[in-house]
Amino acid sequence: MEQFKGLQKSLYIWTDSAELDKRVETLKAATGGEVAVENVHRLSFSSYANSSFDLIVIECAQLTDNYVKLLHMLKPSGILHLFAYIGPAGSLLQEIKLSGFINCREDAVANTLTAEKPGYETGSSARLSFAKKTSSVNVWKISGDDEELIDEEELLDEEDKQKPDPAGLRVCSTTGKRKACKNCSCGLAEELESEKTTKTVTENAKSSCGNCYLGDAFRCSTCPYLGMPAFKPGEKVQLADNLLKSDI
Amino acid sequence: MRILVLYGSQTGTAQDVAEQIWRESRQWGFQGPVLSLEDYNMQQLIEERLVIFVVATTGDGMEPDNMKQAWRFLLKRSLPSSSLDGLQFACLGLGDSSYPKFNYAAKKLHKRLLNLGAKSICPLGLCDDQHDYGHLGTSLAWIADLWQTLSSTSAVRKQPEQEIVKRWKVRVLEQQPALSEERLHWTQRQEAHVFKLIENTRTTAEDHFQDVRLLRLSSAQTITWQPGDVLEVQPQNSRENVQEFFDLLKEHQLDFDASTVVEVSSAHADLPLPLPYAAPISLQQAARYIWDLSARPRQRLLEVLAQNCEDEMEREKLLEFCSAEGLDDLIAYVNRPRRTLLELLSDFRHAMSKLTLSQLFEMMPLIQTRSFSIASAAASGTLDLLVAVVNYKTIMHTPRLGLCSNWLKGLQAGEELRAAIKPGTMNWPKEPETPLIMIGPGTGIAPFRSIIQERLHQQQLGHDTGPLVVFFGCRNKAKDYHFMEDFKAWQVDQSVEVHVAFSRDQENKVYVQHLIKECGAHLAKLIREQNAYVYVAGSSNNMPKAVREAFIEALDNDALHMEQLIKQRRYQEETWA
Repeated sequence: MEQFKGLQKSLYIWTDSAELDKRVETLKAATGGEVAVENVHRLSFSSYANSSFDLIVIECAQLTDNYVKLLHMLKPSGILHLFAYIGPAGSLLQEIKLSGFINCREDAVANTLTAEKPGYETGSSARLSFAKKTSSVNVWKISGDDEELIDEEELLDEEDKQKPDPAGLRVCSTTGKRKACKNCSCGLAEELESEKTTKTVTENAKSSCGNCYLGDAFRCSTCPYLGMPAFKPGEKVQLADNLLKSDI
Repeated sequence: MRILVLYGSQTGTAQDVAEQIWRESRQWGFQGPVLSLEDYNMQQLIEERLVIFVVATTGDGMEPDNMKQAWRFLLKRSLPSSSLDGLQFACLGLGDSSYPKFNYAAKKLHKRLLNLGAKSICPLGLCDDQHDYGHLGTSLAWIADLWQTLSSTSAVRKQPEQEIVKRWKVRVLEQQPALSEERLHWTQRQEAHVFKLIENTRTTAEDHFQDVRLLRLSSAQTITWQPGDVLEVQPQNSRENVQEFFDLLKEHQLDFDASTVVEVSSAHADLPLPLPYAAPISLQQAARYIWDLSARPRQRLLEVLAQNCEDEMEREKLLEFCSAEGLDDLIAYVNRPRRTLLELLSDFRHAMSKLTLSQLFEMMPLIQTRSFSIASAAASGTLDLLVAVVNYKTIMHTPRLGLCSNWLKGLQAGEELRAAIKPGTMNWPKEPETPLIMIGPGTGIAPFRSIIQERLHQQQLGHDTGPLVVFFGCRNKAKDYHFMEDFKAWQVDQSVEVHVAFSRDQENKVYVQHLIKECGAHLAKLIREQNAYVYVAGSSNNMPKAVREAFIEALDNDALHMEQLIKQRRYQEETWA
């Protein structure tokens, strides 16, 4: 691990807890910097910002591990180091390469694999370029509808599943009042409505703004004609009979 | 420069937002289509450079129907993880935080695109119907940010000339061709079956506040369905509303009326024409079958209505409602009272008097289909639906009527009906010996009657089937006890273990969750020892939460066990708002 001397921030991802402390100490001593420690099953990618680490060491790495995520967690030119990996080196190297790593190589003697994150950062505020892409993947081949699919439930982690803070959803000042929900089918809307109409309604209602005939968009909040359409030319300005009768 | 706007929309709202983004993109000099995900060839995504996704989440965490195929494609394991590294995208989600899986469709899409190497130029936008402003609470600012980002990081500039962008071209046909009315009864992509309505009866007592209908359909064609499947129907506007609409046109002496026949075409080479407009139609037909006259108007309708308006006051007001400052007023005027577009058109008299056909077709939202759980097994011989008729009051003078439920209510026995059968979200266990525990208060009982009938039918054929336990709840035994006869029959022959709660028949409220608590040990045994599956269906307010808590309690407060059951699909909720 001497080749990692000077790397400030490292992440050690472990599987086997036996003598874990010793292995972490070795890494700390070799780099001379900080080492964060995470169990591979409990690793939540969301607890680390992108581009946080100079080095990620992962023991018992497998083909199915999320190398794209590890790539994002590394700083540009950061190093990924696998030891005690599971599976043939060739397959793992290819998976790591496809995930965006460069300089993917095997140390057959030490039985480790090492790779680097490219030196440029994606997602920076440089100008967006819409030039033709240079990736090796130019065409999506489809081999019929019964192809294997990834498990979509695995796409979201705990942070993704968060719901918004209810307080942030309120804008108007009418919170706290009894309010019937959208498609009220429990009768509350009816109750509220009947409460409203049992209040005294005058026969010849007086307008306070003169806009009654214009329709709700122009009426003031005290308009007795709220809820009724705009008046047609020549229509008498009079409350409908049934508004004077209680609904009960 | 090319921009592609793709949407996954269930009720047309996400589509409306996508079209708004598309219109605005032209103001910035972009060119490109706005398409539903099912109209776009996903294989081409790898060649795109800039795509905006507007994706709704429907039900609890489900992607909309017109996104299902595209989503399956993107989930293919074989897609290389650097496939989309030439793609820049932004994703806006429409959802409702009263559901546990809030905006899951957009969240998953966003993640998957990143995994495939694409780059997100804006943070994922998550609109919430629970916001006081609905999706506008997030979408307006997100879209503004989008143009801000694009204009500061790429060579696009706001165009000096603001063109009026319309989707369709409308031509009046003087020589009127023969018009097919039948085609308009079903204008969806999926094929429909033809049904005959045998029965349409009110199941609730006359003095009960709500009218709930049992509709029984039969079909001459050989059709079958699985328990849990839903029937998708396309409602029509009521005669009253259609009449009111044409009275309004007549009042303003416009130069078109119910008998005017038009041919609609797309004004853009890459914008597909909706199926309803595929052949010439009369305005009478459009008003009856195609336009949703009782829909709540969206901002686009107000914006288009203002276009030829010569009255300053009305014009200003309409445009104010479309602005960020006027949002509060828009919500108060349209959303809270649930004002219909017909009512809004009646209020803006000067704007209406200058209305053109072109504006009309640009403004009018299309009628959306609605789905109902099928309440009978195919073996029973009829396809049954249990429909609660939506009828409630707001500050508006007249009650609010649900388009589809009232249309169904008005259908006469003997009438023909076109509808499609679609799969539901419930998964039944493969082994018929697995016990089923079903909780379905109110109309939630519908899908369970289907699976119960199917299981009992299997039993009659000599197969072994596991225990069936059902919990039903309503207000009064004498008023809204749906399928009372079925429940009685099951109790009598002991084929199903029945628990019923009548919340208002006694002093204290008794709900299904109370009954669950009472036999918690029994249910826990079924779950632990016999691999029982639990299903909850019905209204999505407090009931699902209370029921879940009752089960956790029955399982010795092991919340983790509940989580596991949910993950294994052994505890499923299908609830609706």
